[in-house]
Order: sequence, then structure tokens, then C-alpha cells
Amino acid sequence: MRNDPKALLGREILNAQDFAQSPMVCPGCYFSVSAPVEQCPRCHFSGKRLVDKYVFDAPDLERYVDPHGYLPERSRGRIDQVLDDLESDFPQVRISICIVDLLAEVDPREFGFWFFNASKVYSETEAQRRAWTVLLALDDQNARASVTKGYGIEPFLSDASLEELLWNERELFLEKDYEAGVFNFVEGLEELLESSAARAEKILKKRRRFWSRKGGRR
Amino acid sequence: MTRLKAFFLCLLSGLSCLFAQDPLSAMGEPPAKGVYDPMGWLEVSKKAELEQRFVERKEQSKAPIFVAVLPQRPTDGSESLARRLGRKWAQGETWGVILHVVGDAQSPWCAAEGAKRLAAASEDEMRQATQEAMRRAFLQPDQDVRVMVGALELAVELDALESRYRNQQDLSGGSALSSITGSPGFFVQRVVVISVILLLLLIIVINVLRSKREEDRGPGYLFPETSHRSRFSGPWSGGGDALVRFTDLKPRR
Repeated sequence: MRNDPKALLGREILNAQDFAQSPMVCPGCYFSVSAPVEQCPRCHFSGKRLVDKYVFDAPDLERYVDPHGYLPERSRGRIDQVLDDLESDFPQVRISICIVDLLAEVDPREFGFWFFNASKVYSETEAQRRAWTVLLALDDQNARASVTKGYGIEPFLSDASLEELLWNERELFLEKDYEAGVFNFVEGLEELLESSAARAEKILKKRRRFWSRKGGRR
Repeated sequence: MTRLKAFFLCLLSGLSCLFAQDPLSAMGEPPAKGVYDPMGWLEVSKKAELEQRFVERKEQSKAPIFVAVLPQRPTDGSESLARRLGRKWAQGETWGVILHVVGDAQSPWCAAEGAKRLAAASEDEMRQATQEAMRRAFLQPDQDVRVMVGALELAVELDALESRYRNQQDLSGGSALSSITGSPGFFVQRVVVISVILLLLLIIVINVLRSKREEDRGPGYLFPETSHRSRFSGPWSGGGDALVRFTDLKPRR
């Protein structure tokens, strides 16, 4: 799937809901909300409350956040190849891989939400890229993983399909073969983005046809 | 008593043989100008002329000629000593030695050997060369002239052999190459050169393929920009519901 990036400059901001594939879920109680809210209507969860819960500073959201060194340089070199390919095919998208040891009572989805939002944004470039970041959080201690997406890429990736990608690699992750697991995950993610791009183009085409029939703006 | 005397004489001679200094070790390093004459048997002018010829020749030929003058015949034979001297002094090159024993009517003796690169010259050819040099030397009545003529004739013979060998190699081409390329150093050089060329070619091919691949990939796909569904006070993400426990037996959905 290809399009001309120059043709898309200064383009219209579309409604995320037209593309969204997943419901919005509270990271605290996993209750689905139908519209954006500042606080979960059920558990009153919000980012502000989470900042009080996680008392330490979030590290920078880099390609690899691996304080315990689960991914050695050699492994990163191999994963870099597929990450570079993916980021070349989808220039907006950035992948971050975080491998940490969480407490059993901390849910990786909640951790992902906190890390994604609490990690400092130092530059305009980082601000632009943050919304298009996909964070893979792996909890080595409790053998769990979650995926958190920025607002930009969110409408094009469904939670169910991301979860399926993680599920496919669970045996590798359980064996702590993070190199192979992450490598396969990124390859699967690229395929997912390809099909998402095709779907997005279909929706755009439908919209254009609709507006041309109406004789309106598009 | 006579038997005891004979026994002691034998013992003494045996010991003297054991402890006798090898003339080769006494002769040490090769003479710088090719003439070993510690007693000064050769006239100074003749010695100087010989040395001058050797020095001039050294610039053109790789086959050194040595002249050695000894006061007495060596115990292991003059020709044998000449051969050992040549091997010691020439260090692998083609060489010739004229060995003269003062007061010995049969002097001088001659020995020569070809280096590895002169392997094409057979032992017979070397023998013929030394015989020819000696034949011409013995035409001279004076021993000192004999030594000089022998040395110079031997030089001519060895040079002829060298040049004949070189011509043969030039004509046969391949065999000349094989004699050079047969050396392990050349083989290693050749392998290194070929490897470097192959490596460069490989790098070029990889770069061409990579750039072609980049061209094929195109500029990539840009997703449409959408409004942010900002929620739960998260400035960049509203979280997600993709979770897997690796120990689970069934997927959540």
C-alpha cells in the first residue's frame, strides 16, 4: 500500500470515529466508554490519579526501554532491521519496545497508559511522533504483555488484532526468547498496518465518492 | 708396554678428533668481498682485482662466487668442505666456491649448487659447469692464476645457467609462473587480492540491490490524520485493551 506523502500535506483532519476499530476502554477498570471522557464514569480513573500512583519519573520513550538488558545489542541489531523496514513503509509510525519487571498487581495496560503519557516530550518532533507510537510493554516477571497506541495510529489498529499478534508469539515470550518474539511481532504488525492502510484507503475512496455525488467539498 | 702405548695413542687421536675445531666454524661469516684468505697467500693486487670483479658481478647476478684459501687440506676432504662452505655462506642462493690449499699440487677444488629457483638446472649441468671452469683453470701453470681463472670461469658458467633458466621460464610462461606462484607467499597474496575484489563486488551488488529495494519501496504510506479521541487525561494515548498472559491456555477473546 503506497500513497504520495506530498499529496497528503495540509490535508483535512478526519474524524477518528470513521476509522476506529476498537472501543475506548478505561485502563483502570476496562469499562468501554462511547465518547472521550476525562474520567472513567465507573471507576473515576484518570491520568492525573495515575501520576499520584506512580511516584517515580517515566523514562524517555525510546525504541528500546530495557533497563535489565533482556535484549542484547546483537538481538537489537536484528530487530532494528524489521523496525527500520516498518518505519520506512509507514513513516509516521514508530515502535517502542519496553521490557520491564512489574509488580503482579500492576496491569501492563495501565502501565502502558502511564508510561506513554508520563514520559517527557522534549521536542516538537517527539510531540508529532508520540501520537503515532506503538508501545509494546513486556512484563518479564509475570509473563504478560500489552500494546498501547498513540491517538494518531489508534483508529487504524484494533486491540483484538494486536492481541492476536501477541498471542501468536506467547511461547517465545514465555521461553524469554524476546529477540524472536519481538521480531515476529514487528513483522506481524507490519502486515497488520498494510491491511489497515488498505482499509483506510477504501474508507477514503467511499468518502470521496460520497462527497462527489453530493457535489460538496470532496 | 707397546700395546699400552698404542692404546694411549689411539685414545689421544680419538680425543683430538672429538675436540678438533671444525674448520667451517672457524671460518665464520662469509667474506664481504668474496675472498677468504687470512694468510694473504694471494698477491694483494690479484686479490683486489678478484674482489673488484666479484663486487661488480654482485650487482647483476644472484649467484655469489667465493674463493677460500686454506693452509692445509681439511680432514673431511676439500670438495666436501667447499660444498659446506658454499651452503653456509650463500644461504639458499645459487653459489660457487673455489677452494685452494696452499702447497697442494691438486688445488684448487671447485663446488657449486643451484638454488630452488634454478631447479631446472640438473645436477649434471652444475657438474659440467664446475668441470668446465676447472678445465680452463688448470690450463694455467701458476696456482694463483688458476684460482682466479677458476673463480671467474665458474662465475661465467653459473651466470649462463641462470640466464638459460630465465629464458626457458620466459618461453614456457606458465611453468615460470608456476614456479613463482608455487610459493606460499604468492598464493596468499593472490587469495587476498581475489578476496578484496570479490568483497568490493559484493558491496557494490548489495548497495545496488538495497537502493533498488528502496526505490521499489517508494516513499511509504501515510495514514490519514484524524482527530484525537483524548480521554482519561492522557495527552498522547488513551491506553488500550490488548493484553496477553503467556501462561494462559486460551486467548481472552
